[in-house]
Amino acid sequence: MEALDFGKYNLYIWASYGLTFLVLAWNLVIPWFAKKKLIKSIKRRNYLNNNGSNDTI
Amino acid sequence: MNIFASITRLYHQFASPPYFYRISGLWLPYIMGLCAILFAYGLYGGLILAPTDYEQGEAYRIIFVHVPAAWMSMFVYMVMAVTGAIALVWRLKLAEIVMISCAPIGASFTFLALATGSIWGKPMWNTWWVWDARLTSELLLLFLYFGVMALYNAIEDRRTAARAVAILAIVGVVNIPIIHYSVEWWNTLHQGPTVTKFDKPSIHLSMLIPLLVMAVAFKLFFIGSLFMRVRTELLAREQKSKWVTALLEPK
Repeated sequence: MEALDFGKYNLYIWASYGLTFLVLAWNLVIPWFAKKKLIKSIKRRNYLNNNGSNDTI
Repeated sequence: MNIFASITRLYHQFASPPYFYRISGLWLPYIMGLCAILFAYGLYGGLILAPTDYEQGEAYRIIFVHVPAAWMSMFVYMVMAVTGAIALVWRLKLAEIVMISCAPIGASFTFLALATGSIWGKPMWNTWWVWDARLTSELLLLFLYFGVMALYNAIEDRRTAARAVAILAIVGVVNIPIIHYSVEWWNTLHQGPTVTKFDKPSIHLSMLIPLLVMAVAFKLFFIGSLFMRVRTELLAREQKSKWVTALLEPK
């Protein structure tokens, strides 16, 4: 992989690209988990409302 | 049919939560797919095809992530301010949600622009940070995003919070031209504009093409990530409505 060897700037370049990857990944993972969690809680509440006791709101 | 009436109708249809939820869900895989292809090409063009810079050597390759991130930091802010204005005037729920969903994404791009700039500054300027106009105004942008998020979370009623945030976002727009022109108005370590000049950009095509491809990839990524956040927030706010109940009904 000679083409990807940037000599004395290796650390700077790969740190920048690595950080970019992390920031983009964060922007996908956070909303993905938030949606999963929300859907689970809505489904649970709907289930309780349909099949459960009267003391659920 | 009156063209104005049909545009208004389309606008209201698109702003209706169930319609937006469905359409954005259909578009999302295509947006992210195209984004991934452009990212791959941009990385290939930027890290392999583009030649070494005669002045900065290999270090300039940070430009392919730094500049798109910095452009996005300002673009996302403008989207946030414009949707904030729409939310203030027309009280559209979707506009409020888009506005507040922009904030964390914009903050992350601003952080990325500052961090990659700092990493680029070390070998080129021999310092991680200087308090000059460009860097300071970009840092202020990060704090504006934080302010927007903090204000939104500090007010319990979502709609009141959205109105307060919209005003803050609109006032903060004053910072955007300051960031953009800072390298021309003040003496600074930061290099001048290379791409957005009215005459010819002072960058070779072999470097400009991957840069622009990366910029488009970042833009698509923003739209995709924004859709993800907006869809979740729509579900949260409308969780008691019929369409959400029907959507999540066990088949």
